[in-house]
Amino acid sequence: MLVVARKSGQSILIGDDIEVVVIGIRGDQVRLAIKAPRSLIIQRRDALEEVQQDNLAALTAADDVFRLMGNSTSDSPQKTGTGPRVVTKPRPPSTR
Amino acid sequence: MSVKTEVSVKEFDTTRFGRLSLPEEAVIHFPVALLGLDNRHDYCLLEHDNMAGFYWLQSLQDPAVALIVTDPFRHIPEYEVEIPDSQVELLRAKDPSDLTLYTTISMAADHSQVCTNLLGPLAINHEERVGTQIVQHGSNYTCRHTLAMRQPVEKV
Repeated sequence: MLVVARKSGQSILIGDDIEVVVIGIRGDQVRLAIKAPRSLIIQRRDALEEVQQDNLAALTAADDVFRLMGNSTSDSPQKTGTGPRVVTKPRPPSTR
Repeated sequence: MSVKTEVSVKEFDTTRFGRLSLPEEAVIHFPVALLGLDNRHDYCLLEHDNMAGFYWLQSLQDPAVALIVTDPFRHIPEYEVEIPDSQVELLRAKDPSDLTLYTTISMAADHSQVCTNLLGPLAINHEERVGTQIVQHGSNYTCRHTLAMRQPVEKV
């Protein structure tokens, strides 16, 4: 691991075609500009963690959300004959 | 050699809706699993009464895994999604119109409203039956954007 101090406007080069420029420092926040080939995936770790947590939250909340819409998950096809329908291609968004 | 003419049908179990069967062409493959939901790569979309505009994204591999999703543009017309080239390729999209976007729904903190995840939308190419979650790394969107739901009005 390399630890290096940078001032605003300074940059580091990683390999031949990646440049990370410090474009601003404000309080505890640093703004970085990353110049890299488009094929390279640049990700924010906090965003990945947030989305992962929220996927699991959505999983846990699904039944509550469904009930909030006025449904019951006991409306299975076997019980009512009006169960869920498989969607192969959703309708285009309504224009209302 | 025999020629199969009937549509291939897949059967699978769900904890909420019992055993379901669907045509093979309704299976949506996620080559990269949703974050936190490793090893679940095949899903289908289900719609249900009283759920206009919302769908269940049901795993075919895990009966208990199902998320509620919506078309975000129905609720937030100004929503913008950036899809990197690598993802366009993964989704085998020739044109942006090949892709349908969905966002997942979870419960707001006060349990009377729902919120949707604008930071990690799902893009599905229904024609190719392939989907993926595309985290919006360059955006300020959050996972918890409150959606206005039509609620029975309670007068105090």
